Amino acid sequence: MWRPQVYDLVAHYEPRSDFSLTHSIRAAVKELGRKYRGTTLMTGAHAGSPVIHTDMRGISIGTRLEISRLALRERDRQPLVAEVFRMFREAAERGIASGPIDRMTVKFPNAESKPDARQPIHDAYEEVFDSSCCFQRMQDPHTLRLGRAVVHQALIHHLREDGPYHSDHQPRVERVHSELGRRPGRYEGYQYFVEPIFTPGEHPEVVFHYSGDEPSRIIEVTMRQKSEETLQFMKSKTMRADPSRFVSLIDYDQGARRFGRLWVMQEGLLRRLDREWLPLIYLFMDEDLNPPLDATFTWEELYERQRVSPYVPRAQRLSSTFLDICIERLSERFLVLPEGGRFRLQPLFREVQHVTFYELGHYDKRLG
Amino acid sequence: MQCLAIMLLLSGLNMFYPLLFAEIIGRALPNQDMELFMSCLVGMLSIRMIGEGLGLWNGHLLRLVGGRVIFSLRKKMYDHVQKLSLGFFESRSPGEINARLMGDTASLTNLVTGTLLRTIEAVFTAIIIVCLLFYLDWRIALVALAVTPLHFMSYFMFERRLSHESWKATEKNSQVSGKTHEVFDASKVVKGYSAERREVRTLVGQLREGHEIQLQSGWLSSSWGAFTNSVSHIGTLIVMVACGLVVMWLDLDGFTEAEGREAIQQGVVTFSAMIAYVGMLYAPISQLIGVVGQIIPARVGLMRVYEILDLEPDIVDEAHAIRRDVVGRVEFEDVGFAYPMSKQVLTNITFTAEPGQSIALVGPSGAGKTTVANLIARFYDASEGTIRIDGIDVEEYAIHSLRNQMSMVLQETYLFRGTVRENLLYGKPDATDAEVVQAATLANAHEFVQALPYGYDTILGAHGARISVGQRQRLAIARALIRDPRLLILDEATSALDTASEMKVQEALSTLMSDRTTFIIAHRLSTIRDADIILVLDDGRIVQKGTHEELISIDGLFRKLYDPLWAREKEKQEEEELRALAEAETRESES
Repeated sequence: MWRPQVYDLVAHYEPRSDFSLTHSIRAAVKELGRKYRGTTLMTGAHAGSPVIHTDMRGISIGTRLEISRLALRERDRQPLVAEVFRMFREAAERGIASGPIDRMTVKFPNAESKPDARQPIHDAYEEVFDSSCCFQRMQDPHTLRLGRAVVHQALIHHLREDGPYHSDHQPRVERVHSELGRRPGRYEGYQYFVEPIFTPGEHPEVVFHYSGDEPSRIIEVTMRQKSEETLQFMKSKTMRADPSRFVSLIDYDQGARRFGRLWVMQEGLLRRLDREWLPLIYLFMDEDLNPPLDATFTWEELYERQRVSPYVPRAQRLSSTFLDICIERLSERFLVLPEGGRFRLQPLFREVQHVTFYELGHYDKRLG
Repeated sequence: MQCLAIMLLLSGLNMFYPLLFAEIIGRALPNQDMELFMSCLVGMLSIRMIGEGLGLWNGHLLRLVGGRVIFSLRKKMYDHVQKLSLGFFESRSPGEINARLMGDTASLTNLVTGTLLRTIEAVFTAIIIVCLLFYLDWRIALVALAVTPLHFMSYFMFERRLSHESWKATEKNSQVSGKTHEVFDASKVVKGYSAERREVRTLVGQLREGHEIQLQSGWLSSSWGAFTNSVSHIGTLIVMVACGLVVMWLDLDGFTEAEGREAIQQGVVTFSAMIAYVGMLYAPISQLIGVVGQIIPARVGLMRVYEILDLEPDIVDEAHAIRRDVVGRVEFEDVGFAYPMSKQVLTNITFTAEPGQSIALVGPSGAGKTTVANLIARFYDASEGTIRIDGIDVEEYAIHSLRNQMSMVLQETYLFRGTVRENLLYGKPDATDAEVVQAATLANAHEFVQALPYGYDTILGAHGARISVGQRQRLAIARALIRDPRLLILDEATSALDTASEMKVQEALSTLMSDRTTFIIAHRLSTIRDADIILVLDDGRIVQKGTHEELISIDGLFRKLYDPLWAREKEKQEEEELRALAEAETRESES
């Protein structure tokens, strides 16, 4: 089907303090351009051939490659974007860029509200990098950042704290994490995980594991003495065989937190929420914290609920401005839908997931 | 409004110009009519002179309006930036903030000083001309309009790319500005590591790239202009051909010779006017496209300005914030704090500082000592628990009222470029000379200030260069002392000093601390020995609390920090115990 779509794609590479944009690098980019040249009919923000730029990031220099692609037909979109991703990868592999790919952005009109135009990018990423990506909404609704997400649980479970991630365990995880940082020499050569044991309706438990070639008694003893937590050894092979059972320490920490910002994912698109807006969601719920998705409320009804809600900070319960701000922010993020003067939670609210967003280059580093 | 009225008046006046010109070509010259010829010339001259006069006045009005808009935008932005939290300044370089404050707001000048009004004028002119063309000859009018879609096609070809180039140019300027600011700020480090050439090379690379972006942007802009002009020329030529053919093929059957000549003359007058109008029709279209070229950098500037204006300050006063003098009783009750997207920095911090007491916060680096101080000064609000000053939640106080009764002396002393007196008055702008001298005397600074070439009127360099670190620190103490604070925070105030300087600063601090609630963050034992309460923090929690004598006599983190011999011995012993335990467990599991 003929549906022209222009994608402006940019790859940002990890910075390096000794990087300089020499003639040989410029020549290599030109050569890359000849290899991956594609038409844009002058319609993109970047040229049809790649352009390299540098960005000063602290005392280091990072590079970015920019290119636009015009796909005239729907079926051309994925192959064209995949070709660009291959070029980005090649630039990193051949040392043309300052380092490995750190992050990528894609820009096209109304990117936030066009899942069908996002899908080819997702598929192209999977095809080239052999892993899935997600999109983060930027301030500009036409630009999306590509990244990786660790899915913790449905947002509703996070709000009710009845899922595998519980804030009771967050300080324990942090204690273990902090101990690992204190004696790095002792704990090197192993990876550390949490196994959440969860039966619906019951309080979740966690078991700490460490994984490597051989068990280390000194690690177990030191951890038990210093953080009062017991580490259980797990062979790397076993760990790899059933990865869904285990969560890295940092991921559990992020998932169990009741402070800081919150990432939520809807239809592969990530949006950031401030925790201070969350009380509004509780106003839509019944006493058992179930969200009746078809129920709608007027502003006045929500205000009445806000006045007596234990989930709204005491100082804000009488504030109409607070309610207005929460409604505005959550409507912008499609969690609350205004319907002719009434408000409701979005119908797919139960599918909204609580996640942690990582830049492409940071995803694997989180495991240490 | 006045500007718009003048612009529309100018456009209206200009409409008569082609008519007069056509009268000269089509009627005055062929008929050798001197009177008509002179009248038309006078009319044309008058239009131009009135136009110039109105243009001059309009230019002045536009500059006036533009200046006011830019002034109020910069004022608004500066005011807003001052209200933003510490996190904002920690995440951006001063050069970058400055580039947005001065550079990006300046790029809006074009937008407010004419772009908008010129757009209205261009649209107005274009509509009048189209109406006139249809009035004169609808067929030629259609021919003239046939090429206009090409003009708009060029918009889709160039706009996105030019817009991006403009963004890149602004971003690069901002980066270069940030870099130069940083390098000049750290000139001592740069020279110390003989990195001048490296820095020059980096900057030259960035400047070259900026130049390339400008070139590319200019090339695109010119190409767009050339494309538009070419379309205009082709359009005018097509209209000329059409007009020429209409005159050539004029059907004169049934006309006398005089009537025929009159009809041809009328045709020449009409088509001369039409050709001139077609030229004028394409001009506003090109102008509209040119306006887009001006809007693009302005839009980028506006986006960058609003990126900052849209940031909400983390710390704001409540509607009825309290403004009152404090006595100095500080209570922390189960206080927890986490920086956004960061781990918990403080957990369950509970303590009470009575008025006049000195509280020392000690612990290893990253234990959360400075965060406690930041929460007292309300640079951040606690995520959990309550902080009370004189029994009232710190969040209920007006920020200015609270900070006016507080002084901070930090490890990195910042002295402004100015005289010693001006720097001391920064703590209390209305202080008398006597108060300045008294504060300096109490801070052990009066003696060395007197020895400076112009005493209190000696100009200090940026960051207080030209005086020693100890002297700078004593001036900072005098600045803190002059405002007679109820709460005092000393964050590593003596850690950068040698023993001799420290003794003098210590004396000054003792004077400063008397009768005020003081929070001391320090690594040196000498600074905290006399504190009323010592809070030992580890990993964001209070692990020990007591006086120096109490804490040093028991095994714990405090002793570990201040008795290195004991700490080494203890660590060794602990390690042996751990190894023994591990071995025992291994044996047990084997058996």
